[in-house]
Amino acid sequence: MRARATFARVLFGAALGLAVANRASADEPAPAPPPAATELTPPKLLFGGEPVYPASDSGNANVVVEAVVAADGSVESARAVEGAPPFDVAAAEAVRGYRFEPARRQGKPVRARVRLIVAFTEKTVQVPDPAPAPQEGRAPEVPPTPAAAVAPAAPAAPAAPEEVRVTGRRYETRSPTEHRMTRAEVRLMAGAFGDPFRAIEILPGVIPIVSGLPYYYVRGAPPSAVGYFVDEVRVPYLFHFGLGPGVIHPALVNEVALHPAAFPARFGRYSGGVVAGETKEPSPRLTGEGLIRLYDAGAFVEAPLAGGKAHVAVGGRYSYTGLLLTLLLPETTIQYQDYNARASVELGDRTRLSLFAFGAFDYASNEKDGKENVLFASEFHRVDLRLDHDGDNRSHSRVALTVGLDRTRIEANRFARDWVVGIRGRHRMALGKTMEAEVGADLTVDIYGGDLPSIYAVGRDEYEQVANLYSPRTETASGAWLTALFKPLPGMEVTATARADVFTSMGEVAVGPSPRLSARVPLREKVTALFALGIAPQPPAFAIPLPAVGYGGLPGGLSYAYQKSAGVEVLLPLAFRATAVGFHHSYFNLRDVFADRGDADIEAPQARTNGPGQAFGLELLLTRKMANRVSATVSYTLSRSQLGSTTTRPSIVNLFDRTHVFQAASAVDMSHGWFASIRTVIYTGWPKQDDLLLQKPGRLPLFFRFDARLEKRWNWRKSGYISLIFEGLNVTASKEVLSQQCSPVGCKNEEFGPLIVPSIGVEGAL
Amino acid sequence: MRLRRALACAVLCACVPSTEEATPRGAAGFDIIPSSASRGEPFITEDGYTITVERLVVIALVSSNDATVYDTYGRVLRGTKGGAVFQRALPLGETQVRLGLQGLYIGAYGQNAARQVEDWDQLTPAEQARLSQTADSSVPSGSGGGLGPAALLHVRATRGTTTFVMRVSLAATSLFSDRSSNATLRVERDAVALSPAQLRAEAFFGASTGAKRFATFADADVDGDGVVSRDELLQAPIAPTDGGDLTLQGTRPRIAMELLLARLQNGVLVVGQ
Repeated sequence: MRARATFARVLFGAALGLAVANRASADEPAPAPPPAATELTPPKLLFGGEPVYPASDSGNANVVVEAVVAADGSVESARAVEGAPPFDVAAAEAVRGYRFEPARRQGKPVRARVRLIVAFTEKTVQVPDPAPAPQEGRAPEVPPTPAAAVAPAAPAAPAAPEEVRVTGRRYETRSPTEHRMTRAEVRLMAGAFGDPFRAIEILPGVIPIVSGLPYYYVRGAPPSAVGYFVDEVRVPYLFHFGLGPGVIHPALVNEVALHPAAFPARFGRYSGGVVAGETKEPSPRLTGEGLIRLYDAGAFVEAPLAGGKAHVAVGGRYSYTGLLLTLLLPETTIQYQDYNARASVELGDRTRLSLFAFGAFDYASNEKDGKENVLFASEFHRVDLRLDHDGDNRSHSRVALTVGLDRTRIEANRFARDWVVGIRGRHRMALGKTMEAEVGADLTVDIYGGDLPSIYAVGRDEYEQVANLYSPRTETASGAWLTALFKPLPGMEVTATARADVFTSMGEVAVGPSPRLSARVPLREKVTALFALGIAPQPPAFAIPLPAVGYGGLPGGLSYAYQKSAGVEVLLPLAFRATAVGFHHSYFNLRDVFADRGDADIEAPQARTNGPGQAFGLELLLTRKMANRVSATVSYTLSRSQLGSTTTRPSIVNLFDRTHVFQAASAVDMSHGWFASIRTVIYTGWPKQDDLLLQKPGRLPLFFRFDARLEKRWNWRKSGYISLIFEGLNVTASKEVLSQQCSPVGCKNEEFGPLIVPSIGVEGAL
Repeated sequence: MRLRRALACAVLCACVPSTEEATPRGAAGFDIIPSSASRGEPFITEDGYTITVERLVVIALVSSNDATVYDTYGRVLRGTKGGAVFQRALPLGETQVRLGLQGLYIGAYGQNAARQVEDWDQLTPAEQARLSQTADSSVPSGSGGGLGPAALLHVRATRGTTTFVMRVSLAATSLFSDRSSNATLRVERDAVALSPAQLRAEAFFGASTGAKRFATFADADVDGDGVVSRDELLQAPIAPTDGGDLTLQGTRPRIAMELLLARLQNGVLVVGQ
């Protein structure tokens, strides 16, 4: 189903709000005589970016945003003066990214304050009313800036207002309990290193295994049950090895979503959750971004071609950690690289053909006794060719073909390989004013071709293990779905999905039904109830997501998660939004190699299934997107994850369970190009398990860490900037207790870390 | 040229390096060829019995002092088929390998033991069940643990109008024979060096120790039902000369069951042509 929304009409007029400050900048040091109206040229919008339609809302909304446009054309500040949340925050955030041809008086650029109307329109509901007409001829306001305060008089209004239309595409349905973060939101988040993917761990329901490492449990489901997607394309991992950044250049990422339950219909085959990244729309102008840090460098450039009918973009990242590690861990080698390339061409007004290629490479090893011991050596590549078409009556279709290659080194020059070929298609259509429907299907073929060792050169157990995990075989996963979105009332959404997947491997066949139901029900003004129910099947998966590594033959059959969650969303004053969601997930036949640390067998030839388990808890999230120079995110998860809760086996607390996980982050725009942010992470320790005779029951000590970030930005030209960024993860050098060793005389904590990631970087953008 | 070089670099840089070399290893063992009697062809003993081996299953294993891995749990061999049994992951060069018999770990120690025996899934469920239980030749322990049968033997013996049936499972009392079960082989990389060996069912009846006879077991059938049962084999005394010079754990076999065990360990699997 496609929920296309075309939104954001910006009516831009001096009568409504253009103000030009005489002597507003150093460009105009001396007072000027009152200018004639004809001498004033209003700011002209050069690049409007793409406003983000609030994920949690629907319908139409108009927001009046007051912005101060600097003499260099950048937006110094923007705030919503009219309009309801969450659109007010989204509108102000969008305007902050705008770039203008500055206002000019007598040819000289000057600061100006403007008022813009940002109209959010969701065509799937109804064609919006025209945005309020600007009040032509009204005298502009004097901007409330120090420079403006000395302005002798407001200038006369310029000519008729200019209308700027900015178009955004929203092709997919969204689930009510999902979490989304745009790159703009997380760019300033301390400890995320500007990477939206790395900011996922701040979300409620995400239980970290070890601080800083991008492996986590989602509502009690292990890392192997969490699926990663980029533009709907499945990828084996989203993060470079260990503490590495995401595998997609941040400049290409529009937003990242975490779907903990009742995923949108197009996602399936994972029991625990889905993390989906979405790339941004092609930019209408030349854009670029580069970053040089102590340990890596990256760049991204995008340019329109053929008068904006086509776009090309290339980006990538290269690590040179050797320099740093030589000083800190001389025996360790970590390398990572990634690349992203995208080309798109508009085939008419309604059709776009896109080719998106991306991939990543990771290598980690340590040296012992002069011999290199490879810890991780993997890579993946994807090429996705897709065709999007907007039809009549708000319909949208997408068909796509994906080809990929995954490789993981087994040993020496032997690799596990997986050639991935996938096709998918979906069609979304409106069924009246209050109903939309989407049908879709996809098929993925994995052709495994591992280089098995000689049966004579390795032990039988080792051979069986590699034969099971990497043996040449062809597996298929195909799915089909029908989903309907019903909007009977403003703000109310009910989404019902019927989906089923069929898995085949080495002659085995399994069918996994996956029905889902979710709803947003407005209870009263600014209060909305959220519901999500779903069944999520998954084939056996290796403990840690690794390219081309998996269990052949569907041993043990499919895993299932029964997902249930309900909560409430409240829009609070001061642009805060709060959500509280209670959840209960039941897991059946799930593989969790970490279920029993005392008996973990990560190299077992077959996936070992665990008894039924469950996770339940309460997730709280309080967010305030950047408004009035301050943003904040506070999340808290109170949860319990249990295994083996059957009549024949007493339930045990998951050994990686953390009762409390609290995170708080805030960023402040300190003006003059300074941005500061801080983040704290606090969570309870694992349950004690190592020595039940000698240990007192309870949990290991809690862990806390602080991350900090400081940025100084210098704007240049019309829209570019250069930033100097200091950032550190775990600046408090906190150590994490992973276990306790006990003897009759007492217990001793076994600590990990401190895992500190310092970063100094220079970032620039066109 | 520059472009091609750049492209090549880009491709290579994106690939996982493969500079490491694994230590070269190979395998050595035995190619076990069943005798005609093992394959089920009738043979006549000197005391006039026509013996047909209806079923012979053994679990053979190979060991070497040079082994770098210790996950060899043996291979199931059928008298009708034979096959190769070898020790894997041996260093290159000369090595000495030994051929022996070993049943499954059963009872509390036997978790997943069957999975570790090669070709286990080639057995029938009945055969798997018998090889997973205490051998007929063993006295069940209190825990029910220990090593299970290393051989299943089903024999039909006919003389005139008299027919005897003997179906027995036998546990090896030591892994390797006191007699020659060794071979010295040269291990080569990613290859297996095999020495020939024989699976000789006729050895149960004295083929390696002189006269082939069945009368000893026929005499054990004290109830005269034509079935030489486990209990009868455990209770039937034998003549001191029946076992020739064979010993079982240092002593001469004294009952029919011990005679079968002694012959299993010292004549059924023989290295050489």
